[in-house]
Amino acid sequence: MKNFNDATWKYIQDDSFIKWVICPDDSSRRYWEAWQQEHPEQQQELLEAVGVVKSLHHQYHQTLPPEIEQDLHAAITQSVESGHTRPVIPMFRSHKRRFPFRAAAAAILLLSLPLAWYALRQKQDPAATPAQASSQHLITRTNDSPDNTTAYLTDGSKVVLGTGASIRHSNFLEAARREVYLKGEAFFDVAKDADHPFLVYTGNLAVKVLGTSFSIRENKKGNLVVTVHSGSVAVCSQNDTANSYVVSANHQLSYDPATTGFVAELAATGQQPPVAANNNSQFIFEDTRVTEIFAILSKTYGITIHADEKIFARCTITTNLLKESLEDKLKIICAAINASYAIHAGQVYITGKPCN
Amino acid sequence: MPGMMVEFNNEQELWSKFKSGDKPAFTQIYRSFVAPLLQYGIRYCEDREKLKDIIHDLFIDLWNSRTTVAETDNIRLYLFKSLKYKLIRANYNYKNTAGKLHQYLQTLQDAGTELTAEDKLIDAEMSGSRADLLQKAISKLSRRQQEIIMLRFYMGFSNADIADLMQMKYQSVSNLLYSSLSRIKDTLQSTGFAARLLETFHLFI
Repeated sequence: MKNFNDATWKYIQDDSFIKWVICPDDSSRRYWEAWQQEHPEQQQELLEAVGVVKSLHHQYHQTLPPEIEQDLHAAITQSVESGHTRPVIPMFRSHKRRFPFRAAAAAILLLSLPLAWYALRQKQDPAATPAQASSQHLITRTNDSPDNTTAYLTDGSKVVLGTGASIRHSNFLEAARREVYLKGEAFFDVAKDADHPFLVYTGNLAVKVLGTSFSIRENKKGNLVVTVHSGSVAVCSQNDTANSYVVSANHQLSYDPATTGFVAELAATGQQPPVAANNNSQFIFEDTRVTEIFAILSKTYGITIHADEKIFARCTITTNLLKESLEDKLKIICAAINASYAIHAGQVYITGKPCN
Repeated sequence: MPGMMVEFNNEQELWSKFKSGDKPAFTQIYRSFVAPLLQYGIRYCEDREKLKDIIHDLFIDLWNSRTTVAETDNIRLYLFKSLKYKLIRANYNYKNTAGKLHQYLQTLQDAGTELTAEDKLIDAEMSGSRADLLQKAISKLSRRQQEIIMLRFYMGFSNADIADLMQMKYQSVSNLLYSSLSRIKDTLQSTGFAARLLETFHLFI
Protein backbone atom coordinates (compact mmCIF):
# COMPACT_ATOMS: atom_id res chain seq x y z
CA MET A 1 0.00 0.00 0.00
CA LYS A 2 1.26 3.41 -0.89
CA ASN A 3 0.94 5.74 2.03
CA PHE A 4 2.28 8.99 0.68
CA ASN A 5 2.18 10.39 -2.75
CA ASP A 6 5.53 10.94 -4.38
CA ALA A 7 5.56 14.70 -4.16
CA THR A 8 4.65 14.75 -0.46
CA TRP A 9 7.30 12.18 0.25
CA LYS A 10 9.86 14.16 -1.70
CA TYR A 11 9.25 17.18 0.52
CA ILE A 12 9.54 15.10 3.70
CA GLN A 13 12.84 13.75 2.40
CA ASP A 14 14.22 17.21 1.68
CA ASP A 15 16.50 18.47 4.47
CA SER A 16 16.04 22.11 3.56
CA PHE A 17 12.25 21.68 3.54
CA ILE A 18 12.34 20.30 7.09
CA LYS A 19 14.53 23.20 8.21
CA TRP A 20 12.14 25.68 6.68
CA VAL A 21 9.10 24.17 8.41
CA ILE A 22 10.73 23.75 11.82
CA CYS A 23 12.91 26.81 11.99
CA PRO A 24 12.50 29.15 9.05
CA ASP A 25 15.08 31.82 8.38
CA ASP A 26 15.16 34.53 5.73
CA SER A 27 16.86 32.51 3.04
CA SER A 28 14.70 29.41 3.47
CA ARG A 29 11.55 31.54 3.53
CA ARG A 30 12.58 33.24 0.32
CA TYR A 31 13.42 29.94 -1.33
CA TRP A 32 10.24 28.09 -0.41
CA GLU A 33 7.94 31.00 -1.10
CA ALA A 34 9.43 31.28 -4.56
CA TRP A 35 9.12 27.54 -4.94
CA GLN A 36 5.42 27.65 -4.11
CA GLN A 37 4.85 30.37 -6.65
CA GLU A 38 6.64 28.43 -9.32
CA HIS A 39 4.83 25.19 -8.52
CA PRO A 40 1.22 26.07 -7.71
CA GLU A 41 0.19 22.60 -8.89
CA GLN A 42 2.08 21.08 -5.97
CA GLN A 43 0.48 23.25 -3.30
CA GLN A 44 -1.68 20.43 -1.98
CA GLU A 45 1.26 18.04 -1.56
CA LEU A 46 3.37 20.74 0.03
CA LEU A 47 0.68 21.51 2.60
CA GLU A 48 0.34 17.83 3.37
CA ALA A 49 4.06 17.58 3.99
CA VAL A 50 3.99 20.69 6.18
CA GLY A 51 1.16 19.10 8.16
CA VAL A 52 3.10 15.90 8.75
CA VAL A 53 6.25 17.72 9.86
CA LYS A 54 4.46 20.23 12.10
CA SER A 55 2.20 17.77 13.85
CA LEU A 56 5.14 15.50 14.64
CA HIS A 57 7.34 18.40 15.65
CA HIS A 58 4.76 19.69 18.12
CA GLN A 59 4.43 16.23 19.55
CA TYR A 60 7.80 16.69 21.24
CA HIS A 61 7.22 20.11 22.69
CA GLN A 62 7.04 18.62 26.16
CA THR A 63 10.06 20.16 27.77
CA LEU A 64 11.92 19.21 30.87
CA PRO A 65 11.67 21.53 33.88
CA PRO A 66 13.93 24.53 33.15
CA GLU A 67 15.75 24.14 36.46
CA ILE A 68 17.48 21.01 35.16
CA GLU A 69 19.03 23.02 32.38
CA GLN A 70 20.00 25.84 34.74
CA ASP A 71 21.54 23.38 37.22
CA LEU A 72 23.64 21.96 34.44
CA HIS A 73 24.77 25.35 33.19
CA ALA A 74 25.83 26.28 36.70
CA ALA A 75 27.60 22.99 37.27
CA ILE A 76 29.55 23.17 34.01
CA THR A 77 30.51 26.79 34.60
CA GLN A 78 31.69 25.99 38.10
CA SER A 79 33.74 22.99 37.00
CA VAL A 80 35.43 24.94 34.24
CA GLU A 81 36.03 28.09 36.30
CA SER A 82 37.43 26.28 39.30
CA GLY A 83 39.72 24.29 37.06
CA HIS A 84 38.74 21.20 39.02
CA THR A 85 37.88 19.32 35.98
CA ARG A 86 39.65 16.07 36.82
CA PRO A 87 38.29 13.91 38.21
CA VAL A 88 34.76 14.86 37.34
CA ILE A 89 33.09 16.50 40.28
CA PRO A 90 30.50 14.21 41.79
CA MET A 91 28.19 17.16 42.09
CA PHE A 92 24.93 15.34 41.61
CA ARG A 93 26.08 11.97 42.78
CA SER A 94 24.42 10.69 45.89
CA HIS A 95 26.14 7.34 45.67
CA LYS A 96 29.19 5.89 44.06
CA ARG A 97 28.91 3.61 41.11
CA ARG A 98 28.28 0.28 42.66
CA PHE A 99 29.26 -2.22 40.01
CA PRO A 100 31.99 -0.71 37.95
CA PHE A 101 33.19 -4.08 36.69
CA ARG A 102 29.78 -5.22 35.67
CA ALA A 103 29.20 -1.96 33.87
CA ALA A 104 32.52 -2.31 32.09
CA ALA A 105 31.74 -5.86 31.04
CA ALA A 106 28.38 -4.79 29.69
CA ALA A 107 29.98 -1.96 27.81
CA ILE A 108 32.52 -4.27 26.21
CA LEU A 109 29.76 -6.64 25.16
CA LEU A 110 27.75 -3.80 23.69
CA LEU A 111 30.71 -2.40 21.85
CA SER A 112 31.75 -5.73 20.47
CA LEU A 113 28.36 -6.44 18.90
CA PRO A 114 28.77 -4.03 16.00
CA LEU A 115 32.30 -5.33 15.51
CA ALA A 116 31.00 -8.86 15.26
CA TRP A 117 28.52 -7.69 12.70
CA TYR A 118 31.23 -6.09 10.66
CA ALA A 119 33.32 -9.22 10.92
CA LEU A 120 30.43 -11.24 9.54
CA ARG A 121 29.94 -8.82 6.73
CA GLN A 122 33.59 -8.88 5.89
CA LYS A 123 33.48 -12.65 5.58
CA GLN A 124 30.77 -12.47 2.98
CA ASP A 125 32.78 -9.95 1.11
CA PRO A 126 36.20 -11.21 0.01
CA ALA A 127 37.28 -7.83 -1.34
CA ALA A 128 36.74 -6.17 2.01
CA THR A 129 39.40 -3.77 3.18
CA PRO A 130 40.09 -2.46 6.67
CA ALA A 131 38.23 0.66 5.65
CA GLN A 132 35.04 -1.29 5.77
CA ALA A 133 35.19 -1.39 9.52
CA SER A 134 35.10 2.36 9.71
CA SER A 135 31.82 4.16 9.53
CA GLN A 136 30.85 5.78 6.28
CA HIS A 137 32.51 9.07 5.53
CA LEU A 138 30.30 10.84 3.10
CA ILE A 139 31.82 13.45 0.86
CA THR A 140 30.12 15.81 -1.52
CA ARG A 141 31.79 17.03 -4.66
CA THR A 142 30.27 19.86 -6.62
CA ASN A 143 31.32 21.26 -9.97
CA ASP A 144 31.12 25.04 -9.59
CA SER A 145 33.12 25.72 -12.73
CA PRO A 146 31.57 26.56 -16.12
CA ASP A 147 33.21 23.47 -17.70
CA ASN A 148 32.78 19.76 -17.16
CA THR A 149 34.92 18.44 -14.33
CA THR A 150 35.97 14.88 -13.69
CA ALA A 151 35.59 13.42 -10.23
CA TYR A 152 37.63 10.28 -9.63
CA LEU A 153 36.31 7.60 -7.33
CA THR A 154 38.55 5.31 -5.34
CA ASP A 155 37.32 2.19 -7.15
CA GLY A 156 38.67 3.50 -10.46
CA SER A 157 35.35 4.87 -11.71
CA LYS A 158 35.14 8.35 -13.16
CA VAL A 159 32.27 10.79 -13.09
CA VAL A 160 32.22 13.81 -15.39
CA LEU A 161 30.10 16.41 -13.67
CA GLY A 162 28.25 19.04 -15.69
CA THR A 163 28.21 22.61 -14.42
CA GLY A 164 26.46 22.84 -11.07
CA ALA A 165 26.19 19.06 -10.71
CA SER A 166 27.20 17.38 -7.50
CA ILE A 167 27.70 13.85 -6.23
CA ARG A 168 27.66 12.59 -2.69
CA HIS A 169 29.14 9.27 -1.72
CA SER A 170 31.09 7.43 0.92
CA ASN A 171 34.70 8.46 0.27
CA PHE A 172 36.02 4.92 -0.18
CA LEU A 173 32.82 3.37 -1.52
CA GLU A 174 33.66 0.60 0.90
CA ALA A 175 30.18 -0.82 1.35
CA ALA A 176 28.86 -3.88 -0.44
CA ARG A 177 27.22 -1.55 -2.94
CA ARG A 178 28.92 1.49 -4.46
CA GLU A 179 26.28 4.14 -3.96
CA VAL A 180 26.41 7.64 -5.40
CA TYR A 181 23.78 10.34 -4.98
CA LEU A 182 23.67 12.65 -7.95
CA LYS A 183 22.20 16.09 -8.42
CA GLY A 184 22.37 17.50 -11.92
CA GLU A 185 23.90 16.15 -15.09
CA ALA A 186 26.74 13.67 -15.22
CA PHE A 187 28.53 11.08 -17.30
CA PHE A 188 29.62 7.90 -15.53
CA ASP A 189 32.45 5.59 -16.51
CA VAL A 190 32.14 2.80 -14.00
CA ALA A 191 34.97 0.42 -13.16
CA LYS A 192 33.93 -3.21 -13.48
CA ASP A 193 33.42 -4.97 -10.19
CA ALA A 194 30.63 -7.51 -10.31
CA ASP A 195 30.76 -8.10 -6.57
CA HIS A 196 30.04 -4.46 -5.82
CA PRO A 197 27.16 -3.15 -7.89
CA PHE A 198 27.35 0.55 -8.61
CA LEU A 199 24.16 2.49 -7.89
CA VAL A 200 23.32 6.05 -8.79
CA TYR A 201 20.38 7.72 -7.09
CA THR A 202 19.02 10.84 -8.68
CA GLY A 203 15.66 12.50 -8.33
CA ASN A 204 13.34 9.60 -7.99
CA LEU A 205 15.45 7.20 -10.02
CA ALA A 206 17.88 4.49 -9.13
CA VAL A 207 20.33 3.29 -11.77
CA LYS A 208 22.20 0.04 -11.21
CA VAL A 209 25.36 -0.83 -13.10
CA LEU A 210 28.02 -3.49 -13.13
CA GLY A 211 30.63 -1.75 -15.27
CA THR A 212 29.75 0.51 -18.13
CA SER A 213 29.47 4.12 -19.16
CA PHE A 214 26.32 6.18 -19.28
CA SER A 215 25.06 9.68 -18.67
CA ILE A 216 22.16 11.19 -16.78
CA ARG A 217 20.67 14.54 -17.65
CA GLU A 218 17.44 16.44 -17.36
CA ASN A 219 15.85 17.44 -20.67
CA LYS A 220 13.85 20.59 -21.40
CA LYS A 221 10.58 18.96 -20.37
CA GLY A 222 11.96 18.15 -16.95
CA ASN A 223 12.32 14.44 -17.73
CA LEU A 224 15.35 12.56 -16.48
CA VAL A 225 17.17 10.90 -19.38
CA VAL A 226 19.57 8.00 -18.92
CA THR A 227 21.73 7.37 -22.00
CA VAL A 228 23.95 4.28 -22.13
CA HIS A 229 27.18 4.48 -24.13
CA SER A 230 28.55 1.01 -23.40
CA GLY A 231 27.45 -2.05 -21.43
CA SER A 232 24.00 -1.98 -19.90
CA VAL A 233 22.27 -0.61 -16.82
CA ALA A 234 19.04 -1.26 -14.95
CA VAL A 235 16.84 1.72 -14.10
CA CYS A 236 13.98 1.76 -11.64
CA SER A 237 11.90 4.21 -9.69
CA GLN A 238 13.07 4.45 -6.08
CA ASN A 239 9.50 3.77 -4.96
CA ASP A 240 9.16 0.67 -7.05
CA THR A 241 12.44 -1.16 -7.00
CA ALA A 242 10.82 -4.43 -8.03
CA ASN A 243 10.27 -3.34 -11.63
CA SER A 244 13.35 -2.18 -13.46
CA TYR A 245 14.11 -1.39 -17.09
CA VAL A 246 17.29 -2.64 -18.67
CA VAL A 247 18.90 -0.13 -21.00
CA SER A 248 21.60 -1.38 -23.37
CA ALA A 249 24.34 0.47 -25.26
CA ASN A 250 23.22 3.27 -27.58
CA HIS A 251 19.75 3.35 -26.05
CA GLN A 252 18.24 5.80 -23.67
CA LEU A 253 15.38 5.83 -21.22
CA SER A 254 13.48 8.92 -20.29
CA TYR A 255 11.56 9.25 -17.04
CA ASP A 256 8.79 11.75 -16.45
CA PRO A 257 8.63 12.54 -12.72
CA ALA A 258 5.11 13.96 -13.07
CA THR A 259 3.55 10.80 -14.48
CA THR A 260 6.30 8.44 -13.20
CA GLY A 261 6.23 6.95 -16.70
CA PHE A 262 9.24 5.60 -18.61
CA VAL A 263 9.87 5.90 -22.35
CA ALA A 264 12.61 3.91 -24.08
CA GLU A 265 14.24 5.27 -27.22
CA LEU A 266 17.30 4.96 -29.40
CA ALA A 267 20.08 7.35 -28.43
CA ALA A 268 20.54 10.19 -30.90
CA THR A 269 23.31 9.19 -33.31
CA GLY A 270 26.60 10.91 -32.88
CA GLN A 271 25.92 11.61 -29.24
CA GLN A 272 29.40 11.42 -27.83
CA PRO A 273 30.26 10.98 -24.21
CA PRO A 274 32.25 13.87 -22.75
CA VAL A 275 35.96 13.57 -23.44
CA ALA A 276 37.30 14.81 -20.14
CA ALA A 277 36.94 11.33 -18.70
CA ASN A 278 39.79 9.98 -20.78
CA ASN A 279 42.22 12.71 -19.97
CA ASN A 280 44.27 11.15 -17.23
CA SER A 281 47.50 13.02 -17.86
CA GLN A 282 47.78 14.08 -14.24
CA PHE A 283 48.50 10.46 -13.41
CA ILE A 284 51.67 10.26 -15.52
CA PHE A 285 54.65 10.93 -13.30
CA GLU A 286 58.28 11.41 -14.24
CA ASP A 287 60.76 11.58 -11.43
CA THR A 288 58.06 13.12 -9.29
CA ARG A 289 58.27 13.49 -5.53
CA VAL A 290 55.87 11.08 -3.86
CA THR A 291 54.60 13.80 -1.55
CA GLU A 292 53.50 15.64 -4.65
CA ILE A 293 51.79 12.51 -5.95
CA PHE A 294 50.02 12.03 -2.65
CA ALA A 295 48.80 15.62 -2.84
CA ILE A 296 47.42 15.00 -6.33
CA LEU A 297 45.73 11.76 -5.28
CA SER A 298 44.31 13.45 -2.23
CA LYS A 299 42.83 16.20 -4.37
CA THR A 300 41.61 13.84 -7.08
CA TYR A 301 39.78 11.45 -4.80
CA GLY A 302 38.73 13.88 -2.09
CA ILE A 303 40.55 11.83 0.53
CA THR A 304 43.04 12.88 3.18
CA ILE A 305 46.42 11.20 2.85
CA HIS A 306 48.85 11.53 5.73
CA ALA A 307 52.48 11.23 4.65
CA ASP A 308 55.30 12.89 6.53
CA GLU A 309 56.84 15.59 4.33
CA LYS A 310 60.24 15.22 5.99
CA ILE A 311 60.47 11.44 5.78
CA PHE A 312 59.44 11.19 2.14
CA ALA A 313 61.08 14.41 0.96
CA ARG A 314 63.72 12.58 -1.11
CA CYS A 315 61.50 9.83 -2.51
CA THR A 316 60.75 10.22 -6.20
CA ILE A 317 59.25 7.80 -8.71
CA THR A 318 58.51 7.53 -12.43
CA THR A 319 55.28 5.73 -13.25
CA ASN A 320 51.93 5.79 -15.03
CA LEU A 321 48.94 5.32 -12.77
CA LEU A 322 46.19 5.60 -15.32
CA LYS A 323 43.65 2.89 -14.77
CA GLU A 324 44.23 1.57 -11.28
CA SER A 325 41.89 2.03 -8.37
CA LEU A 326 43.16 4.27 -5.57
CA GLU A 327 44.23 1.27 -3.51
CA ASP A 328 46.21 -0.20 -6.39
CA LYS A 329 47.85 3.18 -6.97
CA LEU A 330 48.84 3.29 -3.32
CA LYS A 331 50.20 -0.24 -3.51
CA ILE A 332 52.36 0.64 -6.52
CA ILE A 333 53.75 3.80 -4.93
CA CYS A 334 54.39 2.12 -1.61
CA ALA A 335 56.15 -0.82 -3.27
CA ALA A 336 58.40 1.62 -5.11
CA ILE A 337 59.49 3.53 -2.01
CA ASN A 338 59.37 0.57 0.36
CA ALA A 339 56.62 2.10 2.48
CA SER A 340 53.25 0.80 3.59
CA TYR A 341 49.81 2.30 3.77
CA ALA A 342 46.83 1.86 6.06
CA ILE A 343 43.28 3.09 5.71
CA HIS A 344 41.73 4.21 8.92
CA ALA A 345 38.54 6.16 9.55
CA GLY A 346 38.27 7.22 5.95
CA GLN A 347 41.84 8.51 5.74
CA VAL A 348 45.05 7.09 4.36
CA TYR A 349 48.21 6.86 6.46
CA ILE A 350 51.58 6.24 4.80
CA THR A 351 54.45 4.96 6.91
CA GLY A 352 57.99 4.24 5.85
CA LYS A 353 61.61 5.31 5.95
CA PRO A 354 63.42 8.14 4.16
CA CYS A 355 64.80 7.38 0.69
CA ASN A 356 68.48 7.81 -0.14
CA MET B 1 14.87 23.92 15.73
CA PRO B 2 16.40 22.83 19.00
CA GLY B 3 20.05 23.56 19.31
CA MET B 4 20.48 25.25 15.98
CA MET B 5 23.07 27.96 16.20
CA VAL B 6 20.85 30.67 14.82
CA GLU B 7 22.82 33.54 16.21
CA PHE B 8 26.14 32.12 15.20
CA ASN B 9 26.44 31.52 11.51
CA ASN B 10 29.82 30.01 11.38
CA GLU B 11 29.94 27.00 13.65
CA GLN B 12 33.38 26.13 12.46
CA GLU B 13 34.68 29.46 13.71
CA LEU B 14 32.97 29.07 17.08
CA TRP B 15 34.45 25.61 17.39
CA SER B 16 37.94 26.84 16.52
CA LYS B 17 37.64 29.58 19.13
CA PHE B 18 36.62 27.02 21.72
CA LYS B 19 39.50 24.78 20.70
CA SER B 20 41.92 27.62 21.28
CA GLY B 21 40.67 27.87 24.87
CA ASP B 22 38.16 30.69 24.48
CA LYS B 23 35.80 30.34 27.46
CA PRO B 24 32.98 32.56 26.14
CA ALA B 25 32.87 30.38 23.01
CA PHE B 26 32.66 27.27 25.17
CA THR B 27 29.91 28.87 27.26
CA GLN B 28 27.98 29.67 24.14
CA ILE B 29 28.29 26.07 23.02
CA TYR B 30 26.99 24.49 26.18
CA ARG B 31 24.29 27.08 26.67
CA SER B 32 23.01 26.33 23.18
CA PHE B 33 23.13 22.59 23.42
CA VAL B 34 22.43 21.50 27.00
CA ALA B 35 18.65 21.72 26.45
CA PRO B 36 18.41 19.63 23.27
CA LEU B 37 20.90 17.13 24.70
CA LEU B 38 18.70 16.75 27.79
CA GLN B 39 15.66 16.26 25.56
CA TYR B 40 17.41 13.59 23.58
CA GLY B 41 19.11 11.97 26.57
CA ILE B 42 15.92 11.63 28.62
CA ARG B 43 14.68 9.21 25.95
CA TYR B 44 17.57 6.96 26.87
CA CYS B 45 17.96 7.58 30.56
CA GLU B 46 14.94 8.39 32.67
CA ASP B 47 17.06 9.04 35.75
CA ARG B 48 17.40 12.80 35.58
CA GLU B 49 20.26 13.01 38.07
CA LYS B 50 22.20 10.37 36.19
CA LEU B 51 21.53 12.13 32.90
CA LYS B 52 22.73 15.44 34.35
CA ASP B 53 25.92 13.66 35.43
CA ILE B 54 26.48 12.26 31.98
CA ILE B 55 25.94 15.56 30.16
CA HIS B 56 28.08 17.37 32.74
CA ASP B 57 30.86 14.84 32.13
CA LEU B 58 30.44 15.24 28.40
CA PHE B 59 31.11 18.97 28.51
CA ILE B 60 33.93 18.71 31.02
CA ASP B 61 35.59 16.02 28.92
CA LEU B 62 35.11 18.26 25.92
CA TRP B 63 36.74 21.22 27.65
CA ASN B 64 39.65 19.09 28.83
CA SER B 65 40.29 17.66 25.40
CA ARG B 66 39.70 20.90 23.50
CA THR B 67 43.17 20.98 22.00
CA THR B 68 42.86 17.50 20.52
CA VAL B 69 39.20 17.24 19.42
CA ALA B 70 38.61 17.22 15.69
CA GLU B 71 37.49 20.25 13.70
CA THR B 72 33.78 20.30 12.94
CA ASP B 73 31.20 22.56 11.36
CA ASN B 74 28.33 20.53 12.79
CA ILE B 75 28.65 20.97 16.54
CA ARG B 76 25.18 19.66 17.26
CA LEU B 77 25.85 16.37 15.49
CA TYR B 78 29.21 16.05 17.26
CA LEU B 79 27.62 16.54 20.68
CA PHE B 80 24.67 14.24 19.97
CA LYS B 81 27.05 11.53 18.87
CA SER B 82 29.18 11.97 21.98
CA LEU B 83 26.12 11.83 24.22
CA LYS B 84 24.75 8.76 22.52
CA TYR B 85 28.12 7.05 22.85
CA LYS B 86 28.28 7.87 26.55
CA LEU B 87 24.71 6.69 27.14
CA ILE B 88 25.21 3.41 25.33
CA ARG B 89 28.49 2.86 27.13
CA ALA B 90 26.60 3.37 30.39
CA ASN B 91 24.13 0.74 29.20
CA TYR B 92 21.17 2.96 28.37
CA ASN B 93 19.06 2.46 25.27
CA TYR B 94 16.44 4.50 23.52
CA LYS B 95 13.14 3.91 25.35
CA ASN B 96 9.72 3.46 23.92
CA THR B 97 7.42 6.25 25.00
CA ALA B 98 4.81 3.73 26.08
CA GLY B 99 6.20 3.24 29.56
CA LYS B 100 6.90 5.22 32.68
CA LEU B 101 8.72 7.96 30.82
CA HIS B 102 5.71 8.66 28.69
CA GLN B 103 3.50 9.03 31.75
CA TYR B 104 6.03 11.33 33.30
CA LEU B 105 6.24 13.48 30.22
CA GLN B 106 2.48 13.40 29.89
CA THR B 107 2.02 14.85 33.38
CA LEU B 108 4.49 17.55 32.49
CA GLN B 109 2.57 18.31 29.37
CA ASP B 110 -0.75 18.38 31.18
CA ALA B 111 0.74 20.67 33.78
CA GLY B 112 0.83 23.22 31.01
CA THR B 113 3.40 23.39 28.32
CA GLU B 114 3.22 26.46 26.23
CA LEU B 115 1.43 25.99 22.97
CA THR B 116 2.59 27.99 20.01
CA ALA B 117 0.28 30.56 18.55
CA GLU B 118 -0.11 28.29 15.61
CA ASP B 119 -1.36 25.42 17.73
CA LYS B 120 -4.02 27.65 19.11
CA LEU B 121 -4.83 28.82 15.66
CA ILE B 122 -5.27 25.32 14.30
CA ASP B 123 -7.89 24.54 16.86
CA ALA B 124 -7.44 24.91 20.56
CA GLU B 125 -10.07 22.32 21.35
CA MET B 126 -8.99 19.75 18.85
CA SER B 127 -5.27 19.95 19.34
CA GLY B 128 -5.42 18.17 22.67
CA SER B 129 -7.14 15.11 21.32
CA ARG B 130 -5.09 15.19 18.13
CA ALA B 131 -1.90 15.17 20.15
CA ASP B 132 -3.18 12.22 22.16
CA LEU B 133 -4.01 10.24 19.06
CA LEU B 134 -0.68 10.98 17.49
CA GLN B 135 1.12 10.15 20.72
CA LYS B 136 -0.61 6.79 20.83
CA ALA B 137 0.33 6.11 17.22
CA ILE B 138 3.97 7.01 17.94
CA SER B 139 4.05 4.76 20.99
CA LYS B 140 3.24 1.80 18.73
CA LEU B 141 6.47 2.29 16.80
CA SER B 142 9.68 0.39 17.40
CA ARG B 143 12.51 2.07 19.30
CA ARG B 144 14.42 2.98 16.17
CA GLN B 145 11.31 4.24 14.45
CA GLN B 146 10.59 6.49 17.42
CA GLU B 147 14.15 7.69 17.52
CA ILE B 148 14.19 8.63 13.85
CA ILE B 149 10.87 10.49 14.16
CA MET B 150 12.32 12.55 17.00
CA LEU B 151 15.63 13.23 15.26
CA ARG B 152 14.03 14.15 11.96
CA PHE B 153 10.91 16.08 12.93
CA TYR B 154 11.76 17.47 16.32
CA MET B 155 15.48 18.06 16.10
CA GLY B 156 15.39 18.63 12.35
CA PHE B 157 18.53 16.60 11.62
CA SER B 158 19.42 16.01 7.98
CA ASN B 159 19.18 12.47 6.63
CA ALA B 160 22.97 12.32 6.40
CA ASP B 161 23.31 13.31 10.08
CA ILE B 162 20.76 10.70 11.07
CA ALA B 163 22.65 8.05 9.10
CA ASP B 164 25.75 8.99 11.07
CA LEU B 165 24.02 9.20 14.43
CA MET B 166 22.00 6.00 14.11
CA GLN B 167 24.84 4.18 12.35
CA MET B 168 22.95 3.21 9.27
CA LYS B 169 23.28 3.66 5.53
CA TYR B 170 21.95 6.79 3.93
CA GLN B 171 19.39 4.88 1.91
CA SER B 172 18.18 2.99 4.98
CA VAL B 173 17.35 6.29 6.72
CA SER B 174 14.84 6.97 4.02
CA ASN B 175 13.34 3.49 4.34
CA LEU B 176 13.08 3.67 8.11
CA LEU B 177 11.50 7.10 7.89
CA TYR B 178 8.98 5.86 5.37
CA SER B 179 8.05 2.78 7.41
CA SER B 180 7.67 4.89 10.58
CA LEU B 181 5.38 7.42 8.94
CA SER B 182 3.38 4.72 7.20
CA ARG B 183 2.84 2.94 10.46
CA ILE B 184 1.70 6.12 12.19
CA LYS B 185 -0.68 6.77 9.36
CA ASP B 186 -2.06 3.25 9.41
CA THR B 187 -2.69 3.49 13.14
CA LEU B 188 -4.39 6.83 12.76
CA GLN B 189 -6.55 5.57 9.93
CA SER B 190 -7.73 2.62 11.96
CA THR B 191 -9.68 4.93 14.27
CA GLY B 192 -12.66 6.52 12.59
CA PHE B 193 -12.43 9.70 14.58
CA ALA B 194 -8.76 10.18 13.80
CA ALA B 195 -9.34 9.46 10.14
CA ARG B 196 -11.94 12.22 10.01
CA LEU B 197 -9.59 14.60 11.74
CA LEU B 198 -6.94 13.77 9.17
CA GLU B 199 -9.19 14.52 6.26
CA THR B 200 -10.47 17.75 7.68
CA PHE B 201 -7.20 19.26 8.70
CA HIS B 202 -4.66 17.74 6.36
CA LEU B 203 -2.71 17.13 9.50
CA PHE B 204 -1.35 13.82 8.49
CA ILE B 205 -2.09 12.67 5.01
